[in-house]
Amino acid sequence: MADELDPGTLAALVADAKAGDSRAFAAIYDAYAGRLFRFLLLRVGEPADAEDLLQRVFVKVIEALPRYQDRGLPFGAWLFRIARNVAIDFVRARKNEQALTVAEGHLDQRHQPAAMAELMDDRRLVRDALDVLTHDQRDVLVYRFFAGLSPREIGAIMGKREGSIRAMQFRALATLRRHLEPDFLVDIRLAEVGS
Amino acid sequence: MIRLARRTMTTLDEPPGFVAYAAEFASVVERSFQIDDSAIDRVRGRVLGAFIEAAPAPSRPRLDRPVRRGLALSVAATIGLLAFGSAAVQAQPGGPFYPIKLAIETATLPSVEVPAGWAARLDRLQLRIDEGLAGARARDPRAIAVALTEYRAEMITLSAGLADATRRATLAVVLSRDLPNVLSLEQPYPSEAATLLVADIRTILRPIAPGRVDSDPSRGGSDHGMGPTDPADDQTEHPHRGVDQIGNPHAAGSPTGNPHVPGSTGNPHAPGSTGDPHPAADTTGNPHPPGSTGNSHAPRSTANPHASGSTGKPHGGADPRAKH
Repeated sequence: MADELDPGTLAALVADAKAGDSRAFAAIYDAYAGRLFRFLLLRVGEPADAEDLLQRVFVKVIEALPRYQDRGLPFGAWLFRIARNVAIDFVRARKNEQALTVAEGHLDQRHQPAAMAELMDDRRLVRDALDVLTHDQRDVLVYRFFAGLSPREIGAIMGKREGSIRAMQFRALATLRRHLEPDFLVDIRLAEVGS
Repeated sequence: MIRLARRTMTTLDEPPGFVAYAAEFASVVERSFQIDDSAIDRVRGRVLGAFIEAAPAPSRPRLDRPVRRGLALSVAATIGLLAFGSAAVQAQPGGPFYPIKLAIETATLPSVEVPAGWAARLDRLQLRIDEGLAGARARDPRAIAVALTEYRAEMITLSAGLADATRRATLAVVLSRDLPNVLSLEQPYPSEAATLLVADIRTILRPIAPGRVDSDPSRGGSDHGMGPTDPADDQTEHPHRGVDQIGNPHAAGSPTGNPHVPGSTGNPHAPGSTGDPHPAADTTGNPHPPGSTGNSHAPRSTANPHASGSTGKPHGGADPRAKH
């Protein structure tokens, strides 16, 4: 994953890309493609589908970029909102209501069987953990840990304030921890985080 | 993903245990949902190709619409002015742009009081003669008349500087040079403008260069009554001729400033003189009274400055060119 861009650099790159600068657009792609791929992989399960959707996302970005204006919606949030819509459309078209289902039988063939098993376990672990969350909590964690967005960017996508996003993230992680490690004494003060 | 976890930790204000768990979760995500770099590269090539195909080539920034509109108007106005100016400069006498041409010429002239202005106006005399000759070649009597009218107006302006001996001599040379051309224009294309101009040239030349007038081959004829027996010759002896005996035909002694002023001002065109082509029929200074039997310049048009009822000031007043 490429280094994250500071807001000033990103704004300049977006402006240059809008003017037709392919190098600026390439820099934007390098900064976001990895995170988008992971985000899409979580959504659709299949690496091949994620690759296809990644291309769809950037084609839509190319189409919509001339109209993009940073009016309270950071570029990253705008980008992942497009990705989310593309993934939702894809899942609907596939008639798969479970967007978070991981296609366990289509793991990367580069992995050895032992590694593949471990990978499947990990994915199942994550999937199961996310399934216990509310819809908003799951979205917050996905945007946070798969897309690497900031609470402000997540808030822009979900239409919530940054503080609310932080609170939802705290609660989601606490729930996740209880689910994954039931014997683990939660030492975080949920009262401070959740209420 | 380590960076992602670190970012997650540094942007959250949760207790240390919570931060550690978030980092652990991020690590799990990174490990279980690995990024396929080859897929990223493949998509990169296709996406950049699509971008280059779809996006406009980087170009110079476009100007705002008002600026572009202003520039377009400026260019159009400039082209229009250039075309208008070109048409005016090339205008011929009688044409619609000719007055504009004259106005441009006049506007760019220094004052006649300074040598440069004087010399430039002498050059304009030659321009007017050239225009008259061009009109003759084009068989355009109106162009000839207009050119000679303008010549006369310029000559009158120049005649105001005759107090200077050098200027007087220079004007005599120029008028002597141009008189044959004027006569050559008058004969095939007679007009009142030509007649008046010939008369005025002779009037100006007679006191300052009498030899040039006397040597005029046309002199002695009765065409304009300017022969040796012409009463105008009396001007040289008249006390009111000129302002100060310098030969200015528009002398202050003339109540109208008209060289053709009749009566006591010593007008050579004495009333009742049958041999005078410019007999004054009245006391208004009109040398060309209508109905005069001896007047070869009987009013032919209402534009005749010498027609009945005229103030008799074809080039009177402070600015004789105002008539033209």
